[in-house]
Amino acid sequence: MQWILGFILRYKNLFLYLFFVAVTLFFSYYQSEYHKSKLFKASIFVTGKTSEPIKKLNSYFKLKKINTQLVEENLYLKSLVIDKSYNSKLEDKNNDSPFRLIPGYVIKNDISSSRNIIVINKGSSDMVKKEMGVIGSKGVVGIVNQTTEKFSSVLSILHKDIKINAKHKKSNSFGSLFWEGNSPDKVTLTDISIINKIDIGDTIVTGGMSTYFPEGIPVGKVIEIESDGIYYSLMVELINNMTNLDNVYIIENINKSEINSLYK
Amino acid sequence: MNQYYPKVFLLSLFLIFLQVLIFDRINLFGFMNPSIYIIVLIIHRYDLDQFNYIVVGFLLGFIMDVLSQSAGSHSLSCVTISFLRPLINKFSLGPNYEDFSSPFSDGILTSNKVLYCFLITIIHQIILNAYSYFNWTHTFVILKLTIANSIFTFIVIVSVLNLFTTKE
Repeated sequence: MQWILGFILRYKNLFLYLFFVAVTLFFSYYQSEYHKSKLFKASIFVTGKTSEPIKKLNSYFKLKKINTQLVEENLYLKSLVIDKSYNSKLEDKNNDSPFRLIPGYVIKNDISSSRNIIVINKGSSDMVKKEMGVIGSKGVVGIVNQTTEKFSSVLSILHKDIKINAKHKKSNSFGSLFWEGNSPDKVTLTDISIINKIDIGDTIVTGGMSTYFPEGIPVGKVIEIESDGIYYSLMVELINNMTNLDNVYIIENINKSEINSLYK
Repeated sequence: MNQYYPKVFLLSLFLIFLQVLIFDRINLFGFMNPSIYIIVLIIHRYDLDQFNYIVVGFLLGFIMDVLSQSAGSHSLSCVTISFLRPLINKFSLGPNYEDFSSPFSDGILTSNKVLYCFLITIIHQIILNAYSYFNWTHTFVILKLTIANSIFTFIVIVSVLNLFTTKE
């Protein structure tokens, strides 16, 4: 305390000067509109410069909350896209789509074996069931295989035993998509008839013929075309980077049991 | 000492009224007006506390601002002069200026006195004009006014001080 008093007394002239400068600025602020606007601009500049690092620090600590908000927002937007895609095929545009999204987070992801499994942090307590489709931020990820109360295992699209119904977006021609077990960013689409015109760079999307995925979820782009005279065999580069998956969305089809009962 | 500050007060009032009623209306060449009220700051004694000197400087400038409807430019320039005077003294009169009681004591060289007066005048004018315009785009006008008014003020102040000392 004595040290502070000593400091103030030592620099009393400086403090008095600064005090009078502050009084002068205050006086200017109320006396002249011109000075008021100039001082206001200066104060905005100073406030902006000083509050920017604090704001950055605060936003760093809020990242988790912001991330959660973004996932919720993405969930809503993806639902809208799926609803719109579903309704575009129907005459009655006000039908609700049978697809619901459940957000999840990848906690284990393999790409090294020929039968890769992904583990996500949502299980039966979150209404996740077997054979639900899973999509990532850009496109298809896999299909739910097993569930526990809190976790689920997902057969990755990079699993040799999984086949997904997919179609060529331009021509609507259907085929089977599977992974040959080589590169983690390339899958093969077969059984597309050569009567359809297909070019390099064309988009491949989900076909909607299965109950796992709604129609039109992006899968990848054609990078190589081969044919055996009857069918094409297309090499497709995946749109989702399967090596760094974070947030995923599990797709629930509420009509699934009804559709499956027709096959029995 | 007890009678010094009332004298300063009366002299300040007198010079402020002279400034507002006469010297602010000269408008030589359309824009030059001398600021003679800073005589109060120039002739202030050295052997008194600088704290009081800063208060005197602020009050002088503040009264000028109120009477001439300016937005704090006189206050800022006067209080800055009051704060910076030890530096100005050292620069113009040398490090031993505290041996003298006032800037016009016998023993101080005339050239030093002239430098001292001119420094106070020009610093006062720079701050006064810069704060009045408060805009970088008017730098040329600020420089022009500062140089012209400093020279005019300097001539008037030196003349007035010479008259005063001659009378003594």
